[in-house]
Amino acid sequence: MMADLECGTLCSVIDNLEVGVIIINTERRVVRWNNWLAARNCHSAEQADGKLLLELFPEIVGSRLEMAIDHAIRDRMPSLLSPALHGTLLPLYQNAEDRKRNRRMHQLIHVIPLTDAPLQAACLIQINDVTATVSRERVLRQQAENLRRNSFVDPLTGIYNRRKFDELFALEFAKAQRQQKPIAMIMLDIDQIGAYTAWYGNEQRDLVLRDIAAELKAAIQPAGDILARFDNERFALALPGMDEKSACLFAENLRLRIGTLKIANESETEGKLVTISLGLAVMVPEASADTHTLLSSADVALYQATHEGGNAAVCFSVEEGNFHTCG
Amino acid sequence: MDLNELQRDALGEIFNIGVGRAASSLSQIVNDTVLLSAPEVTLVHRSDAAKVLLGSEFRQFSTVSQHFSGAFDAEAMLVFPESNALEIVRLMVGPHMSIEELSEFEQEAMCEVGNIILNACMSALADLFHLSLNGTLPIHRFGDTESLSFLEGDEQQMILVLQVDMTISQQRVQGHILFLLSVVSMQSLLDCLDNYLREQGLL
Repeated sequence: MMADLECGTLCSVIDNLEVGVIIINTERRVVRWNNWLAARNCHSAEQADGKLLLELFPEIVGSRLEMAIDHAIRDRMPSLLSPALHGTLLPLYQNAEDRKRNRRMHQLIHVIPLTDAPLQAACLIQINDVTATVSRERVLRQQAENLRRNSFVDPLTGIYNRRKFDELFALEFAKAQRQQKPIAMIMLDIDQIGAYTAWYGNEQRDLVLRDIAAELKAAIQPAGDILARFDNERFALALPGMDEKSACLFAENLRLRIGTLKIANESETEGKLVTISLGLAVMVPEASADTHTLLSSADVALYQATHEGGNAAVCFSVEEGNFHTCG
Repeated sequence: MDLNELQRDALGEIFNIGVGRAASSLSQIVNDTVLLSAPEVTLVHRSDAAKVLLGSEFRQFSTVSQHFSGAFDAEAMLVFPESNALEIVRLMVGPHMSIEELSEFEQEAMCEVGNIILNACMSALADLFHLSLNGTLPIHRFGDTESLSFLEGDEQQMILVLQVDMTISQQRVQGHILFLLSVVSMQSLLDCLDNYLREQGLL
């Protein structure tokens, strides 16, 4: 039955395939150029017929496609040209608009020797349009990147979120435990943020959070310190390797630094500026210690600082069990 | 069945001509020097090939396979531990992506890399032996050792194992090329090889 299919029928099938088909002879002259290809390139089947492929596609001179064709005709070896490595090799366009803008389609090309065919047909070049796949790939990759970022970055302030903080803090804590080195933990609140928000509104509060986060970020060592938005209006800062004395100075400096921003706060009766309170705790973690102890110690210190009127940095000495003001 | 020293050296030399050609094609594609060498050729029974591959610490593999037929029939397969294969593609396509992000798109690139290497090896054989071989298009797979199903089976089959060292962007990546042949095909290949050695006045 298969032998009964006449040549004309087969040619018509080739012409109507939804992939690009070029058949060339041993001299690299075109013997078949199907409709799909004619529609996506400036040459019609009549124009292409009998021409050297290199004349029709000068860009393939010295390219891997030229080598693949030689390989197919001379060595009977088939080749695949992947879009990842060759992209838009041939001047093929999905439509006139793309042609005008020189936006080529992405191509997957197969070069197949026609060993059983008569000599006038030596090599089949099959071209698939993979533009849609490539675009989808790009979109998916971009989305994956966004998701990855969103999973650890707080969108408002651009610093780490709570989840990422917990993860990194646990690692640094364990490291301090292994190496028997100190690790400092600072909890930081904006004073009277409720009153500020009531006065200025949520948008303005967000701006303050962003400015303070940016100032804190500029003050820390990006390589080792871990700064995060801990919850709504609270920031957490872990400082690996820092002892109590240095951490006290550092916390007090942060308080002064935020003061220099001079963010107006009319809801505040004294000073009329936005201020922060900081709670600090430092420990060289023993084998049995856990992150919770350090976090809650810093929390207690912060409560003490706020309780005493705010705009203060207070250290809770884990060993001695007492408070002292930093600075 | 085994290779004598002369046969082993000759095959090694021929395959190195092949991978050398493949390296220049790959260099042209990436616009950077890609080096390939096949320092060792061994002939093993199918059951022993598993040891060569599985003896390593790796469990996930990337394979590109093509079937060649003519004076002898061979299933040719380029095998890299999956992480090495992804590293090759990452180095070729661009260093901006992590291994986890590589997709089907890059797997096609791996398929092409395999195609270039396998074609080059087989056409080096065909050239020097003055014969013609037909090849199929390459197929790429990722999988664990169980998916290397050609390693199992009842018929007596021989596997020609080539160790492949690839250097790309100054990084060295190792893999293997396997040629799976029936005993009859292996004998034909060795006959071709002996003819070639005779032609060269070496036998």
